[in-house]
Amino acid sequence: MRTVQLDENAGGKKLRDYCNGEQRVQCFLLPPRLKGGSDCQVASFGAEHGNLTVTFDRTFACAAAPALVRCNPGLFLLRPDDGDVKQITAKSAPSILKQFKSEFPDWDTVPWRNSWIEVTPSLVYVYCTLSSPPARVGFCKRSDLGWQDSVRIWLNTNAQATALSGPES
Amino acid sequence: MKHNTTWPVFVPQKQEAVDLLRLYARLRHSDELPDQRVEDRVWEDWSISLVGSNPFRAAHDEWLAERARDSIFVLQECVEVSPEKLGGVPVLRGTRFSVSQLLAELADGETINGISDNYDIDEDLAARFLHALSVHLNKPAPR
Repeated sequence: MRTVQLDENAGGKKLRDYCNGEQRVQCFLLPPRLKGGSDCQVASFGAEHGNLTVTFDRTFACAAAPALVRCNPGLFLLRPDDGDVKQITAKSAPSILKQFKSEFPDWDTVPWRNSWIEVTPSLVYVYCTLSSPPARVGFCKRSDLGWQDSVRIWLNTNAQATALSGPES
Repeated sequence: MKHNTTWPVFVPQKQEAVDLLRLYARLRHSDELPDQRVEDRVWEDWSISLVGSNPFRAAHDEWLAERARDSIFVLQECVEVSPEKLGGVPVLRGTRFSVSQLLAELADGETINGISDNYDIDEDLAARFLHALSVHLNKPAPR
C-alpha cells in the first residue's frame, strides 16, 4: 500500500482519517521531529521513505523542488481554482479529493515518481521534477473527456525518465 | 475672558461637527472644567478644524496607531517568515502552519480549539496571534 505524508497544514488529522478510511493508501502526519521543519526537510523525508507528499501550498512545491530532483516519490498539491479567493481547508479538501478520486479511479496505482501533480476543482497540471525548477508537462480540464488518459501518460513518462537517466552523479 | 464666539464661515465635515458637539456635551457635564474653559476648548477645536486638524481626533488616532505598533511585537513573537518554510509564507512560530491557513480554517467555521486539535498547534499561540492581528488592523487609514 502506498504511503502518503500530509504537510503540516494540509488538512491535519481530519484529512488523514478521511484518506485512511478508504484503506487504499496509508496516510500519516509528519513526525514531531519535522514540526516546523524546512521545505527541503519535509521533501527529503518523503523521498527517504518513499512517501507521496500532500500539500495545500504551491510555494512549498516550488521551494522544495531542489530536494525533489531525481528522488521524488510524488508530490500532490491541492489548491483552489485561479480566481477563487477561498483557500483549501480541512473542511473543503475531502470533497475535492473525493471528486478527483471518483474521476480518476486508478489514482493510487499510477506511478507518481518524479511527478508533481497540481489539482484544482477544475484543472489538473502535471510537472516533472527531474529538474529544478520543475518543468510543466501538461495540463487538462477535468471537464474534458478522457483527461485521465493524458495524466496517466504524463505520469508514466515522468516515472520512466528516472530509469533512463539513472542516478544523479 | 469671553471669546467672541461668532460661528466660523467654514462648515466642518458632518462627522467632525457631531464629534465636537458630543465632546462639548460631555465636557459640559464634567465637574473638572468650568463652562468657560469648555467653551474655549470647543472653540479651539472648531478653529483647528478650519485647518483640517482636530487634537482630540488626532489623539484618538495616535492611540490606535500606538496599539497597532505594539501589536507588531506580539505578531513578531507569534509569526515567523523564513524562505525555507513554505517558501517564505508567514507561519505560526515553530510550525509549518501558515497564518493564512489559520484564517481560512476560521472562515470555514472551525474554532481555534478545533484547529489546534486537528493540526496539533498551540492554541494560545494561535489566539495571541489573532488578538494581535485584530489590534494591528484596528487603525485609521493614513491621511
